[in-house]
Amino acid sequence: MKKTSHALGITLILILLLPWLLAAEETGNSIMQKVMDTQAATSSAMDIRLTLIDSNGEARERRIQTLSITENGLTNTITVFLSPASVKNTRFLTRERSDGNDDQWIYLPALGRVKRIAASEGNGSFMGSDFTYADMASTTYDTQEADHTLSGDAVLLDRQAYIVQSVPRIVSPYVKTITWVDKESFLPLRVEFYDKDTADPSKVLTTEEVALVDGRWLTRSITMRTLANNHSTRIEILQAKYDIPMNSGYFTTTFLETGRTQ
Amino acid sequence: MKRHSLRSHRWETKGFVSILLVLLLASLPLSAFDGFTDIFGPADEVAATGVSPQTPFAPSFGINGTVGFSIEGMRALDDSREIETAVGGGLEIDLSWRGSIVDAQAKLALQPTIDTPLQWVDIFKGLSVTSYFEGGRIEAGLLKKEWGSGDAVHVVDVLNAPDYRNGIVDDALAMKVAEPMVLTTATWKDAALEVVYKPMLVPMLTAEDPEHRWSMLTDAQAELFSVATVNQVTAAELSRFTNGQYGARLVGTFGPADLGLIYYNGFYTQPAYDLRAYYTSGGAIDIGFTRAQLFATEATVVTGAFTFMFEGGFWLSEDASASETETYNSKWVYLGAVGMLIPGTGAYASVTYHGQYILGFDETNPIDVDTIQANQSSDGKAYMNTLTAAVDIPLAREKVTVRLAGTYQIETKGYALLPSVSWSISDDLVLKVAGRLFGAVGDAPDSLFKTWAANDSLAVGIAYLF
Repeated sequence: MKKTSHALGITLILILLLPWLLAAEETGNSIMQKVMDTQAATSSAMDIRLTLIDSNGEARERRIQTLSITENGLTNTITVFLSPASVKNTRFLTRERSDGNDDQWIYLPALGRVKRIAASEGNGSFMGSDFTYADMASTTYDTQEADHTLSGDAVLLDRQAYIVQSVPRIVSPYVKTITWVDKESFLPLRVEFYDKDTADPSKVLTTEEVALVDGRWLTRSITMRTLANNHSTRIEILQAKYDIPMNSGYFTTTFLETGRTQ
Repeated sequence: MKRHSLRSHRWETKGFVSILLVLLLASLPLSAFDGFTDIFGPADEVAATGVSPQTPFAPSFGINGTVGFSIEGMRALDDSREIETAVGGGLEIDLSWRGSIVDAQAKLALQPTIDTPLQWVDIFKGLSVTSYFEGGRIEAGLLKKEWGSGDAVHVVDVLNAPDYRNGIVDDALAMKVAEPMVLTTATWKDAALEVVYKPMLVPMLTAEDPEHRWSMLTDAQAELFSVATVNQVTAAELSRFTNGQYGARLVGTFGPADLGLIYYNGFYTQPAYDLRAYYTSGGAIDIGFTRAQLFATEATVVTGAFTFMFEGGFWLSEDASASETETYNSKWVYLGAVGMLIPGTGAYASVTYHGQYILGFDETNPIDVDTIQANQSSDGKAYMNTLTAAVDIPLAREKVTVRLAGTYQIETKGYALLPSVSWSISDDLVLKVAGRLFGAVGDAPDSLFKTWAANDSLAVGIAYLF
């Protein structure tokens, strides 16, 4: 009798807690939302080294610095190319408009002038790398942009990971992506990009190093590999700063032209 | 032979200056603008992720440039079976100093390509000081500036005289003469007002020898100039206070468009020939310049993948009534262009249509400067329309760039084609092969391009970027 009442008690508790337990279970959408939240910031500054590595191991380096600031839900970004010499001091300004489109200007030091340009083609290569412009913006999709399905768990790089399949609802160069998301940091550890009508991924993004800095998880090194030609691009985050005060003068055409905020 | 001796003399001077510049280069730290040093610290000191000190501003010195060699081959003018070669390349160097409120910049070139006596414009491609103040800046010195919205082609770009001594090359900035000027820019969030003053008149540069392969004179003009006395304008006359020029440009961003307004009070840079005395009494031909004011507008509008560009303006000549033969008349100028990225290729293409319409044009007066110019460039018509197109195709992950550029002058059927291929052997070593083709389609009237038809060339060069 005592056993029966004990079991009943446990059952009642479980019934009462069930909605809470169900709510705590991760879904594809909730995981990807956490991925986005983990990377969100009101401002960010990154010092980045890109290394382009061709199939026979020859490497070419590019160095860029980028600042972003988000105000009223709209993000402005300024990118400066530091090397190689052929693109040094090229500066690029993007301002997000409330209608979802971007305004973009470029400063080419060889011409010494600022020029307004159309938004970069999303699937065009960024500086000859394996990343497209869309990849550089984000390698995962917003929950409004894709249907995300949790398809399983795995261990990757000795870390527990969710496997989420994403099918974009927006115009995208890929028909689907599969993302391994670290259960602790909610950083993507691996992303497979699939083109139309292919069973194998066309590109694979691999995270090589993550770090916990000032309570925030950061990806420090990732590599995107194009499987068809075995060309790859490694991105190393030399420095990253988030939610820091930032001079709004950086996000102006005056800064593009002069390299000064005043 | 004369050309070779001139070059030899110039190379002695250039060699000396080159050695000085290379020594200077080797002894200085690099890079004036070196990224966001206030946030990340010096770019050559890579700090641990997320942790770096805020760095106070420090003055810096920078050097960039190219050193290279090229050889251009073209048919000899007197015998089409012979090939003449011209050595090009040389050293181009940008020196910059960045202080807390002052920048200084010198763009120097030591190039053996211009085979006329060495002039300051061949060495100093820019030499300026910029001082910054709250809400703006002031620049002074020898400057090259670009006004207008078009893709390299403009009709309202008035601050620098063009340089045609080496024909047409696929580098709009190289075809400009750095001019002395003072330019003040006041900036607001999305707008800027530029006010400029130029203390002297710098005429368009052309090959002075009528027999030169890049001479812009027609055969009839060359013959006339070989027998007549020509009174050139002296440097002292060009520098007179009364030849000062000034203007202003207001630009701003309005939604998907960048718009601009321009006013300029200056000169047409092409010389005007006063032939009245020569034809009436056998006297000398006087060369002069026509003062004119430009009222213009410019716009860039972005829609989806397309960038639309517009320029339009009215030149009000000092000869507003079009009654004088020795001054150029007023005219309308216009330009429309569209540029776009070609989907899936990374290639960028642009097409530009531009032209002018001369008011009060008198085609029956053979000594009117407008008629003379029209006979040279637009089949004797008051209007002149030109189509220009260019496409840049990056290949092999931007290691190779193929560029095809061409222009077609509709009235004279004259064309210029400027194809090139660049191969980045490494990030700082570029091999380039470029061609220049000039001519006219079918039974075409006289034109600049037809005059230059014998100047087709192929150039091969290599350049090291630093």
